[in-house]
Amino acid sequence: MKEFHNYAEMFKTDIHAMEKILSEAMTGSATYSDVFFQKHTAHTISMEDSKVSKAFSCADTGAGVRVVADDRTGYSFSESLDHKSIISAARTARYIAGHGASGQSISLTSPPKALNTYYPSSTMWEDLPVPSKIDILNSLNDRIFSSDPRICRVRISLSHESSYKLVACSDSTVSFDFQPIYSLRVFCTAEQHGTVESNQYGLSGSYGGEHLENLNIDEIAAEAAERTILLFSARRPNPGQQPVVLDAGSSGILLHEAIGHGLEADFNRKGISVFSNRINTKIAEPAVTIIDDGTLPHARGSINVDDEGVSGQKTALVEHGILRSYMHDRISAKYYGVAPTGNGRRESFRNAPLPRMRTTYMQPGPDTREEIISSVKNGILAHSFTNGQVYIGAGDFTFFVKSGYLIENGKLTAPVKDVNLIGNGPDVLSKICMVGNDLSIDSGTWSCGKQGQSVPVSLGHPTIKVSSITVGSAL
Amino acid sequence: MNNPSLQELCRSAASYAKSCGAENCIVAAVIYNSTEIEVRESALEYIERSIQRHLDIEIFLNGRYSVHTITDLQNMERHIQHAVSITKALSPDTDRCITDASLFPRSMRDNLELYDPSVRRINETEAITSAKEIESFGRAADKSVISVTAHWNHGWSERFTLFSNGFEGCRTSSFISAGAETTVIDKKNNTRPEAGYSSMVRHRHDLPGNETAGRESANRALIKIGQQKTASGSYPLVVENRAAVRLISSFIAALSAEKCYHKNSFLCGMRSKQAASPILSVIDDPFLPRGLGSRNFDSDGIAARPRVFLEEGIVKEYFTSWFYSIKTGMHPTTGSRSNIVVQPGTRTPAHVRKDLGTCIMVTNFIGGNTNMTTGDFSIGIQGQLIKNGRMVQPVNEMNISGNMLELFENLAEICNDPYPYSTVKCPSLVFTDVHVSGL
Repeated sequence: MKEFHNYAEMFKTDIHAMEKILSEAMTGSATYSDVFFQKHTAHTISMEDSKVSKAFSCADTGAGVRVVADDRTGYSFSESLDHKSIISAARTARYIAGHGASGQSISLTSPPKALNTYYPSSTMWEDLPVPSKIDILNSLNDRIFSSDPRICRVRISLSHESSYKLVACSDSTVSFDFQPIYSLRVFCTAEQHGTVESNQYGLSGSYGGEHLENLNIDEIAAEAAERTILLFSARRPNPGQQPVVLDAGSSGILLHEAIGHGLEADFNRKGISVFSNRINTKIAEPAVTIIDDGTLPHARGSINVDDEGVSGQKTALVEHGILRSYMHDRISAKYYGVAPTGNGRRESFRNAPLPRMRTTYMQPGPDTREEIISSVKNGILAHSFTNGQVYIGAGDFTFFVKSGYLIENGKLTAPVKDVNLIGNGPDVLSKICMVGNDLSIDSGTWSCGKQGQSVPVSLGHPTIKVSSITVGSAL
Repeated sequence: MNNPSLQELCRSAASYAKSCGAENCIVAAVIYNSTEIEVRESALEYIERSIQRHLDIEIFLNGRYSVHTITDLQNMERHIQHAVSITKALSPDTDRCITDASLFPRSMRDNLELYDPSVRRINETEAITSAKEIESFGRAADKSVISVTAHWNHGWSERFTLFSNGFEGCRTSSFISAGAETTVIDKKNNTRPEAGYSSMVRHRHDLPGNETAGRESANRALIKIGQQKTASGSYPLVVENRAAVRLISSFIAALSAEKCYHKNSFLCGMRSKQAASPILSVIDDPFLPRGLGSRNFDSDGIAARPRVFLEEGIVKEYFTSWFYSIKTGMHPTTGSRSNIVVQPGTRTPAHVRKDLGTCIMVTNFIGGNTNMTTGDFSIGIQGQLIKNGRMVQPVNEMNISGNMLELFENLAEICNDPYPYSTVKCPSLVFTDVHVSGL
């Protein structure tokens, strides 16, 4: 859907009705308000025992009203699109603004302007017949089992979501967007001489249903099987501090945990981030430039418009080691006197937006992957990752390495598995001593959790070398 | 309590699903009402009120199975039609069928005390006042405190569930959660350590006082000032009760028929075998009064009853849902935990620490993971280095690593302080010979 009237019809509203909602919200000390309409559908089919016998769906529609008074927020929502219900939500949300002057009259721009699209699509996932999706899972399942006789269990799921949203703000702007996202997850288990190993592999992106034909089933099957079989020969590296090379792609989790969350502006506005009050100061080596980008074509973390009506954009967080910007929503942008950066995101209409990452990555540097690996006498190369976590104020972060390799005398030797890397964000940034020329944006199924809300994100990285980081491993 | 409108909604949905071709269905209608508040710098920072109403429907159709959540209840019939059509398109697996009616409860306990009517009467002013008090006590704790965000969340829910082969049940519950996140300044390290304290209960009068919540949050952050890595090595570990919840949860998660079926459990094939120290006994007790996980039946409709999963370290049962009971041939118990109760010991953590010489007390885990297939784990820790019972150094940026089977074999003592604010009632746990990576 490309026209405003399609969205207005879907959400049973119009410019006049939205003006009434916002005017109802803007009472007392309110400085800003918005109304966020959303229709979200999600479908999953799952395979186990070589049968696609399970499906899941969710159909969710509603509208949330936010009222902001300086940097304080009131929020309420309605699961009904009935105008009276949304007006009632506005009256609840305005509690934050106290009982003051009656509603300000809000006029909205009409018609809303069209946006860039970073995820054009031609086919709705819902319009694809279920058997065509089952065929893909059957093919993938067959290929995985035929790739290695040690594979004994395979589970696969294919999920797709469609989210329509319409945002009207008290600054007169109205915007709307449609975003499709798919995720393919494969979980493999293999058995060898009584030893069992499991691993997983996933792909995701903001694509329409036409992408189903583009999935390279052979490559996905090979990757899922290889990641699992590799673990039979993997061992756990020596524990303690050592040089770590982070492979290109999903190593972007380092940025996400070590610096990304700490640069979300709400934590800095409250003074609880280790990066508070450090704008325009050196926080990393000059080779380090870090971007948070909502504009990468088809990335899982891309957004044409954020969830408070600000256009998707590319934000330089760190330039040549100097901290240049936090990630802002409208509240923090006003607090710091800067323009919002399009990072105001929310899980659904049930949640108020917060500053959140989109696709976070490091710009490439001068070194080749081979040069970086050969510079390490004893250390590890971390290749694939699962989860991570950070304490914003202390800067302590971790991320979990599912697979990688030992580096001995500058060469990759034995595979390694299941180690947790732990460090301190500012400390690790200062220890990035080589940056590769091979930036890769990972297409995994990454989601980020914050204050109970989960949003899709992407991450990327060139190969880098950290001179020392603590590797958690058993002796 | 039984909400007639939810019952009617379930019956109507089930009837319509069957008319569309569903062989059987499980329908649950839910109303959820909550108020959430945050206070910072003596002022209300955030308030959210929500009323949610949705329908969950599971459809069984000739070996095909699907689950659907519908919030757009005005178009419920259209969504159910769509749900049935998706189900028809799936491949059959004859093990997919609704729970055998013989497993449903024959009677319901009405003494679980899951609902406190006074929670429904809490108004915004009371909630904000409490949150402001918590925040105020936190800020007053020490001049190093730079930020306290106090939170308060209360609400209630009603859930009515219908199984089309002959069972209906309902559940009304309330909850209150209160606490704070505190950040302190560590000038020497140029960092801002943070910590939180939060408690969730069913009944209002079971909450700790606002002073306790505010001060405890601040104290937990203040003891982190000066934290640093200590030497790598093998240490005795005292894992504080709230942190021990994570370890015991990872261990218990492997007692799953589903995981065993998929060869994804390090406790596969261990029934009647010693899997942990003989001092460890774990019960799943769905009948704990006011328990956060208490219930009369599970999501399969299986009648709840207390079950011993580990007795003196020996595996007695696996969590076995109806579907995986058919897949594995194990008898169905329940597919999900209710209240996990770790049988407590007799001594306090402070008493135990005095006897350990040098040890590390873990107060928080950060990140990390456990490989459920092999039991190998590597997890970040924060805590205190203890010598002869005294805290001598806050520690951070360290990992513990090993294997779950070895870790729980080395479980040396269970303290007497089960953590009350979780579905997992786990006391502080003492392990010997745990490898810690640091300097």
